[in-house]
Amino acid sequence: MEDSVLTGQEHDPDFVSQIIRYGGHDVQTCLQCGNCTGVCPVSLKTPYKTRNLIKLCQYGYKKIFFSIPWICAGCHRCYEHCPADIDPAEVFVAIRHIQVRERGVPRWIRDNVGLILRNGFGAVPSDDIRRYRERQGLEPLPNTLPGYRTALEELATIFRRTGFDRILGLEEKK
Amino acid sequence: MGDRGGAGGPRIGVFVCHCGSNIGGTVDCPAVAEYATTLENVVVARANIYTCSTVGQEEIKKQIREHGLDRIVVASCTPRLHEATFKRVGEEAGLNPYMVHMVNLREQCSWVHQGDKERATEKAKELVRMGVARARMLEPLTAQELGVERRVLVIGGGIAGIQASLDLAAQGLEVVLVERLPSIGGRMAQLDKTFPTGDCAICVLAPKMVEVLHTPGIRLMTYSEVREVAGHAGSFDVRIERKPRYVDESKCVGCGICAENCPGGAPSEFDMGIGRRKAIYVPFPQAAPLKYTIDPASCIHFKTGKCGLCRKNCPTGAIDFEMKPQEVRVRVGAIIVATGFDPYTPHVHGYWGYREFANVITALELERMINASGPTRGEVRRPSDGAAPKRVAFIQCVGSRNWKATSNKYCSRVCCMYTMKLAQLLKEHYQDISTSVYYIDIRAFGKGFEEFYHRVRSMAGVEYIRGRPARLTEDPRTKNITIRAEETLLNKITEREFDLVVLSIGMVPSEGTEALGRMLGIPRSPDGFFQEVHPKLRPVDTSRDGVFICGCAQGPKDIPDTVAQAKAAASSAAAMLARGKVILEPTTAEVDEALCEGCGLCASLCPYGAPSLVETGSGKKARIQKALCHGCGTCAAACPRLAITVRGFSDEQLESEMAAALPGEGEKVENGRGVGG
Ligand SMILES: Cc1cc2nc3c(=O)[nH]c(=O)nc-3n(C[C@H](O)[C@H](O)[C@H](O)COP(=O)(O)OP(=O)(O)OC[C@H]3O[C@@H](n4cnc5c(N)ncnc54)[C@H](O)[C@@H]3O)c2cc1C
Ligand code: SF4
Ligand code: SF4
Ligand code: SF4
Ligand code: SF4
Repeated sequence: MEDSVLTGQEHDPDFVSQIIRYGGHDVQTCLQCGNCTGVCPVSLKTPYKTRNLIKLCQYGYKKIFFSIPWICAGCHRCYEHCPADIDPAEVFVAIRHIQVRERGVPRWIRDNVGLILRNGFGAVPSDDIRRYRERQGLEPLPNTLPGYRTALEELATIFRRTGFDRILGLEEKK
Repeated sequence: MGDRGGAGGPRIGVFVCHCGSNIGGTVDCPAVAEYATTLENVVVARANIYTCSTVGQEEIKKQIREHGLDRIVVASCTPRLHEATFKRVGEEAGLNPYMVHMVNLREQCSWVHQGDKERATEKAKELVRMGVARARMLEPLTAQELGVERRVLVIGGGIAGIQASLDLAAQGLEVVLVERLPSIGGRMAQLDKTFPTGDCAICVLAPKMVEVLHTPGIRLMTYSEVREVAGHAGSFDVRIERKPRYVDESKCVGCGICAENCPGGAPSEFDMGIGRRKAIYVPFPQAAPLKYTIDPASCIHFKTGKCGLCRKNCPTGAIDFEMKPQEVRVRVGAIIVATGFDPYTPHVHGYWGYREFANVITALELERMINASGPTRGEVRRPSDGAAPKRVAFIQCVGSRNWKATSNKYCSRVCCMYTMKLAQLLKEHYQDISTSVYYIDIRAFGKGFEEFYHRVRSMAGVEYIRGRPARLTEDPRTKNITIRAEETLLNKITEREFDLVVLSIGMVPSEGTEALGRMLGIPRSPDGFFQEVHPKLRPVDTSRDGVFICGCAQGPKDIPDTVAQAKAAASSAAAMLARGKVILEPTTAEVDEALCEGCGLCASLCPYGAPSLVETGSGKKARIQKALCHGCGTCAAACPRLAITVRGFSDEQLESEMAAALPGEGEKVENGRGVGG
């Protein structure tokens, strides 16, 4: 993953037990067999390999997780196949908990949730698409938002009541 | 130290052991010995550096003689370690060995209270006080001796059972060898070559099989099963069922004319279902004994009443359709269990398309195919189209090392090695073949194994890929298999196409292991195989005296380890029988028939089947077969009438010990058991 030499400085000896405390399995018993990687839809498309990430957990390379995206799709296929009965997906959920506690919510997650609160979608049609449709002489995409105004308000209420907006640092941006 | 024995009372000596610094480092041993002298009936107390040493032992004897002690307390380590030593020391000085009591100051005190010398010493004093109280109540007991039958039952005729039988016979013991299949030989007979030497399996096995047939001391019963075992070490009564072959063994000469003409047939079990056999068959050409067997399930005569060609053709008139199961009873002194393993069946958990994709086979199937006398005459062929494969993949750890899909958490210990062997054989047979081995770890720990691994990897066209495959897909047209896997050392997911995929299956306990264990009263370990008493020091003993285990019945292993264990089991059984007698510990349960109501609770709870109910003049009463009783005390604790006492562990003895633990509360403890009863 890095072409530099690991010196142990980045090693967090408590990482494995911290993962367990936050609901993950004991990654120490991972066989490094790679079955999880082979069935992982994210590993098939990106440079991130499930097994490799579990190895980084074993090593205690906590820092790296704070600099890479939250790539796990949560499909749990890895769990179905793992011969060591480890659930990498749950391990990654635990790491997300740890990251939020220690570093706060990553910026891109906050932005994304902000989009949902504003538009009702995580992904909004980009300007490219709008221009493309125009060129093809198609109608502009319908704005679905007005119909869901009440739903959005409910969502905002849920975020507020559960304190989710506070965790995300979104409250002031509304 | 004064003589506190008093006239007529018990005369107790106490020996407190430092065990070097093991106890002495944490417990103030001289202080404990000093304290012991203040206890009633203690005549003398000593602290020694190593009580178990020759010096320590002599010291005990000297004190016994000098002070006329009639019982002693040794406060040292666990009785598991040295009880026998100190009993012998007492006996040598003229004591009854059961007048020796041990107090455990090491495992139960010093080792668990390191760093708190003061309180550890207090506890040690209390333990010694309890031990002395117990010692006051000791009674002399006498061990019983029973004669032994100089005959051994060996169950299972694989290489383990064969080797054990030959070794026993060589020592002049009689052997009854029971094999449930028509021939002995076991799984080894199915193998082509054997790692790490590359010997032809049947070439080295067949002479041993023949030797079994020709050794006068071995009574071989094939196609037979043990149905009942009663009795105890030295004298087991065994009932064996001989299943009907429908061929008279004494007449059949193995000419095979019957089979040539037989129109019936079924897939050959010996060839893992790849080839076929007739309804009247021998499983393989070197079968021992070379006697034909009719399988009624595939025989036309048994199905329709017609045919009978074999009877017509048999030159010796050996065919007997009326044959019935026969019962044989034998009495033996010891039993060796060598029932081996079954290969793991991959479709049970849907492993990688086995039985779904034609060109996914198991390693044992490949063994049969690559064997010159196998169903394909030594040619490896794709099941889908009979073509010779050019690209072969092996997948390791199938049915082993899995905490999820199977309960087989263990490593099967042979599949890494047999895969190397098969890769080498494939290469020898077909120069243009390439082999890829998908593995997690390679385990090549035996003598010469790593060297073998090195040799195989140096062969062109053999490649090791570290990674457990994620997915196998079959090309609907070519029936080729594509394996997707993360090649973990590349950190890349790859897809490779193969003509044939071989699953390196592990081992599971052979069918019927559980039932046999119940019949013999021997436990199994969590992996399902039979459990040895101690993995290092008593590897072939079971918790039932006189019953030994060896080979794959005890756990997955290769032929070298199997043979070593077989020899060990034979030697252990022979050693027991060579003594000519078995010693029965007197510390067994005893029923007071006047109190027993015959409820049978003891019989239902005893893990060794020692109590049973017998009809007496005054109703049903429990009787305990002393030879089976281990003195565990389960029955005594459960008996609602308090009718059972375990000698050496009577209520009085245990209660006096407890009373001493709680000074001042002695009165309440006195009738402690009465509370529950
Ligand atoms: C594919 C494969 C390849 C292998 N290759 C090698 C190799 O190259 N080199 C090597 O060293 N090892 C090899 N092994 C391991 C080897 O097969 C075993 O070590 C060996 O067969 C064990 O012998 P055994 O006598 O303990 O058990 P088995 O061979 O299983 O014999 C047990 C016998 O007991 C009989 N039996 C079972 N239950 C009963 C019962 N209740 N009553 C009466 N009889 C019963 C069975 O019918 C059988 O005949 C291989 C194993 C496999 C699966
Ligand atoms: S499948 Fe399980 S054992 Fe294998 S690498 Fe992934 S987490 Fe580790
Ligand atoms: S009677 Fe049965 S065993 Fe004999 S030849 Fe006919 S089918 Fe075969
Ligand atoms: S011997 Fe090798 S292939 Fe077999 S279970 Fe053990 S590690 Fe896996
Ligand atoms: S003491 Fe244990 S072994 Fe003996 S008869 Fe009672 S329950 Fe069985």
